[in-house]
Amino acid sequence: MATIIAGSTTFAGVRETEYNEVISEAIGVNLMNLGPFWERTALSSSGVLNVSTEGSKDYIVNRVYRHGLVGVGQFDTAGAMIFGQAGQANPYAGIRLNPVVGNVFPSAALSADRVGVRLSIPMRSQTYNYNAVVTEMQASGLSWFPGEDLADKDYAFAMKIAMDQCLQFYASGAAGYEFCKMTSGVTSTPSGGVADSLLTFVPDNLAPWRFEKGQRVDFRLVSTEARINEVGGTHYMGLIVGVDYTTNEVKAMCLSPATGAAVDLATTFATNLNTAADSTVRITPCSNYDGTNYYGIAGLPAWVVNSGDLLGNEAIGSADKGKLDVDTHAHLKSIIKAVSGPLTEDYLLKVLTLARRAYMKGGGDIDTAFTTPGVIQNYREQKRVQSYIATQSGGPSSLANEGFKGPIIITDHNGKTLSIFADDWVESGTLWMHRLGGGNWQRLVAPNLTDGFGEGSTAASVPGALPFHFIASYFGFPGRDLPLYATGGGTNDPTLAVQRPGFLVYQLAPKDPRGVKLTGLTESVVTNGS
Amino acid sequence: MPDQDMIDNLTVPSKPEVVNLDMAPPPSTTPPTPSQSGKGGSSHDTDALSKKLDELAAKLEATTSQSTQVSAVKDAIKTLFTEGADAADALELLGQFGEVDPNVLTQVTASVRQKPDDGKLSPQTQFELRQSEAHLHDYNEQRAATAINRVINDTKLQSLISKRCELDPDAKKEEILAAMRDRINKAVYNSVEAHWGRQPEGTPFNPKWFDQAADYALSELLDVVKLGVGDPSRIGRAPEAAGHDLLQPVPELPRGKDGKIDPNAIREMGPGGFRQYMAARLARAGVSGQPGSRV
Repeated sequence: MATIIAGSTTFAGVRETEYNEVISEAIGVNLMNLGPFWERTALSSSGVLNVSTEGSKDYIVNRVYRHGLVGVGQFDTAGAMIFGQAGQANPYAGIRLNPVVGNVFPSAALSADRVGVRLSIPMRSQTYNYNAVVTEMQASGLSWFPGEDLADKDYAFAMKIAMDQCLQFYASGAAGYEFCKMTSGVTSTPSGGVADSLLTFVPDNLAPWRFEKGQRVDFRLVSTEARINEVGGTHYMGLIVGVDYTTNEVKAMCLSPATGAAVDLATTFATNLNTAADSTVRITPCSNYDGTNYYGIAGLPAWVVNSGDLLGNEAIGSADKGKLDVDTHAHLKSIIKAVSGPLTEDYLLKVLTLARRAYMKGGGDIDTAFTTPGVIQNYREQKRVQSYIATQSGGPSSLANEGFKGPIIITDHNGKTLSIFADDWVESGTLWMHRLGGGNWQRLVAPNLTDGFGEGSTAASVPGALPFHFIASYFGFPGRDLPLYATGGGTNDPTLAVQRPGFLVYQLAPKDPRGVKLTGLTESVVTNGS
Repeated sequence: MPDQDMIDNLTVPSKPEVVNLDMAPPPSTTPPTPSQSGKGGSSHDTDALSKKLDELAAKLEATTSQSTQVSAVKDAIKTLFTEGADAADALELLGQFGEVDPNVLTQVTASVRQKPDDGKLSPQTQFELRQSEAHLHDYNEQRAATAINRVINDTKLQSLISKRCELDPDAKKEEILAAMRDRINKAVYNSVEAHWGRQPEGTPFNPKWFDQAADYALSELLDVVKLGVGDPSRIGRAPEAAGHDLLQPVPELPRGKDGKIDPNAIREMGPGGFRQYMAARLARAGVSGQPGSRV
């Protein structure tokens, strides 16, 4: 509620909170529309701690995992349970001397116990910025101006953030959260009077919807992770300028940071982008690489592993005190299978049975699967081919309600269900299974970063919303706008624009990391306009 | 008038030294009897007491520092009851205190509340002091109501709302004013409460804050209404500054029967619907940030 007197709850503070809330809500709503995963996650600050006690704003999440059984038991004849049986023989009928208590119980010292091992999950920050110009702000205040210009801009800003989160969830951090690789047949054409400046490529995973006009990207060599669009320390950020869904083509440029003009891709960079082959160049979000990691949120590939540490390179600490090696703790291993063929209900049930059997003792479960629409389409075709005419309950099989109004739901031999969702952000030919019930997946938020996102706020109530914070108010500016200055000539002259920097600090983590990954599944899709 | 629950909750936050109007007198307190509370039942020399009251009032007016005043009021109350005054007389005296500085009353009552069993004040005195708390509450409520009325009755604001009603035949001035009064009430009480919360522990409540909060609310409100109507200097000439209608209630995201945000209903809103919702929220947040007033 609005307050008026100076301080953190000033009218200005309320504005800031309102802006934070609206963007956070918009991120959530966009995530809901982009994929089915996010609205099935829970918001939590549980276990989110400062890394150090000195008021550090670097956060970490500690989780203790315990597994195994406790106690010792032994099986014996019933007589061992009768006290006195081990005493002296009867001196007379019905009398026993010096009864001795039998050594009935196994030694407690022989009892097995379980030891907690700690997994430390680092939090991640993402910083964003955009600008607004006074004239558009003025126009937006006019009733006759078409469209809600500023709201539209904020919505698109939230969409950009949401798309980044989707990518991070399904794509591997080890591969730089790559959108795709370029297929061969990349072409470039002149644009705006600059030769070879417009790059046209088809994503190798046939997922052009991962791109959107206005997206900023980098081109990296798969072999070294070196950024192609960087020369002598100057970063020529890539810009997606068009997506053609009928041909699956994506068009991109690289812009000079000095002039803002598109550059000649053939001559500016050491690697000529228009001759790059599909397996050598990956397209990633603009992020830094420190030689080991890209520091994004931990997505499914970081958790669903069958060797090495959970979180891979991004794990911190030492063995069992921060890091958990699934080769040591085999019960945390996930099932990863290369299928190389169509997804059938037969195979799906077998894998599901295996996974449920494996994860059951730790209290785990598998209840949800995510895959591409193409894999689901192919799965439906398989069902037709295999003539599944009856459900397991004996009723006639119906495809009418499978995947249209909700997920496909299949039932295993114990009557437990698995919901299968289609998600555009899943890698081509891939299916993930995981537990989403019981609040297994959590959006972990630092407790003191909940301003405008606290308990009971609308933003926190939007399924999938993430706590975005504009920082202008931290510098004493009301709301979210900071002046945008023109630098050069030794001056910082104000311009007609403002900037709106802000950040997102959170992490995505499951309580139970175990899942299933199937790859090489056949896709049934219409491509290239055919 | 402000909602009574709001007053109880907001003017009397849960700070230990705060006057709590809901607190009933403790069982040990002697309840007032007709002879004690009625003016006619007074058994003392009325002229002498009246003279004494005048002296006390003069003494209070002569004091300048707050601590001296606190001490003087305590002395005055003790003296008063020593002289055999009853509740009505005490209230009369406290009425004069209200004109001096309400902070003094707060401190006095707070000190009594903190030391209920110190034996220095008789149960009757304690009861009379609680009567003074009621007086203080009335005083604060009156002060807040006056400040809020001043905002509502502001000529500029009234003029802007009238102009807005001319521009929009569906708008009803009474409804706008009622909605506005509700908002001002909340803003003023909340801001005063928040302001007090930010003060050092033990800081007495100051009813002047109501005036400050109301002043600020008025200036902000004028900005907001200008967005809805246009700059007052252009009224009648420039409808282009109409901007967002901030006087309309801000839409809320759809919720299900369980009160939770309903994802499916949000999807049905579509991007366009959600952007409209965002625009309304941003406009409310914008006030000066949303530059309609600068056009």
